Amino acid sequence: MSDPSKLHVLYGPFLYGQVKSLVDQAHQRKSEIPAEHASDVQSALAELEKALAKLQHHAK
Amino acid sequence: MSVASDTPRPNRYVTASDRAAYRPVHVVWEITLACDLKCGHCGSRAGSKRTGELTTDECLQIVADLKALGTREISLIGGEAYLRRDFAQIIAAISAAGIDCTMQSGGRNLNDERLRAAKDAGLKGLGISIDGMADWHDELRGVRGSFDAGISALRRARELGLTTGVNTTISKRSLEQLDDLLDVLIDTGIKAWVMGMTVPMGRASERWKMLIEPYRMREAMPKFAALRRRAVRHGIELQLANNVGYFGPYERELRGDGTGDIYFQGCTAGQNAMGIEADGTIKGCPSLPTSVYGGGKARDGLDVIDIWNETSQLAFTRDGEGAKSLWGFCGSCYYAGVCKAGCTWMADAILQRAGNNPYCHHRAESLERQGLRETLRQVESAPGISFDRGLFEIVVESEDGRELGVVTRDGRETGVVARDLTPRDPAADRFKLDVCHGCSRDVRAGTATCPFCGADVETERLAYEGAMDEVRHALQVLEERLAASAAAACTAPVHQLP
Repeated sequence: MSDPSKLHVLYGPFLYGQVKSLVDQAHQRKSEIPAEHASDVQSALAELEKALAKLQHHAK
Repeated sequence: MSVASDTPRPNRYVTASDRAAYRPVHVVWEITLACDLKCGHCGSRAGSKRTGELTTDECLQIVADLKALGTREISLIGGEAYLRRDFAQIIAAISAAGIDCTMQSGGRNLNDERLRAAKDAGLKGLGISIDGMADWHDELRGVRGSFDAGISALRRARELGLTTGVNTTISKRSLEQLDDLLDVLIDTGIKAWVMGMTVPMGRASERWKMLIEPYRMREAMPKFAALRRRAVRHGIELQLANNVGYFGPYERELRGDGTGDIYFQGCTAGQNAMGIEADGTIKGCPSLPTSVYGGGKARDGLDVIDIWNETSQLAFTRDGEGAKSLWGFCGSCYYAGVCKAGCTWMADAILQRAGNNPYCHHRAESLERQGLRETLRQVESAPGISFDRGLFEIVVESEDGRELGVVTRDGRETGVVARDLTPRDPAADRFKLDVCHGCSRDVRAGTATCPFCGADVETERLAYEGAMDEVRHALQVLEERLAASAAAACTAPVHQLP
């Protein structure tokens, strides 16, 4: 996961808090995620990573 | 947690309704001038009690009156607020009135008994002033060991369950120490770190050479932004005091709250902020010089409500009055209609009048593009009373320090004149700002081409909004999939995510 703190440049603490909370949750619970859901969660994390990278292009 | 949910704002957040009603949402109240430190930058020259400080009964009446005016947070300061024997009683009254009570302190003698009393009385948060690492902090505060005492107070307050924060004044010495200081502050578990410029008032007017020169806002603002990015990873919100600014590429990052509509909109003294001195003197901001901005004392038949509503000393920024005082560079500024020369306290402490404030990032950058910079020179010392100020000139220099021009109190500008040459779009609104997502600078609402980076403002906005929508959607999907996996987790075999 890239460092979401750069989101502060764009959207301050609120979006940053949401991103951090969900990503932390995904990683903390990874050992509990049932096998049939693991790839869904993993791909959602990858999509988020991609979207954040695109957004961070705006973070000068 | 819903992606669409709104994180609650602090009670002292100023709404449009507050602005329209001139409601004193946040009050900073010096309940005594007695102090156990001897700070070399203290604007009020704290040490001994003021003559005729308010009685307990008078304080309780003020709390009731502030409740009636719609105040939502009161920050107790001094001197040292805890040196009043009834300080916990005042906190309890504020809390009982449904107003958030916080306290700003040096922390030197904030022992466990006082902390516990404040917490039990309903104190919501504690700020400790830490101005750099121990060597500079102790020198500035005039007491060896005051840095350690302040850090200890922060740790003990946190153990008691209080939300803690730190205020730091920016000077030549502290600016160099902020990275090291952040390491110390992370370890104390604070939640907020507020940066404020040292203002040449009171004792600081005698030690004015400790101030950074105005042109060094060019290095201070990027430093604050870098510190904020590091601080946030440790759960610390770095915030700017109203005398730090303004605009340039870091305005939204350093002052915004994530909604996209927060940027500096001028001094709010007397609009949504109030200051009270220990003898009941009411001002629009606690730091303003009493002689000019004191609106009367809330005692002997006068009350806070009448002083707030009726006196001209409290109304100097209301109804567009702030814009009328602009002169010099600030009168020519691209942001004049919104910023109105920034902090009145800073401008007044330098030139003994409002409306022209050299401590500004946009101004420093704008002059840099013209090969110019500004410094200060004191021409008159302060008389030596609480909240007094000396008199300065603004010196316009070349980048290599050759004096080219001078700005004086009476508005005379000799030699090279400092002006803002930023191009303006005649169709744009000079009283409202948008962001150019090409360079992160504020531009006048409706501007087609960014005057700073040349980007098409609308094209950049659309690209940014598109990227933002993708993040929101990705967050929504992740939230839903985590919820689905949690529901299935009880019975199904687990699979380790990479």
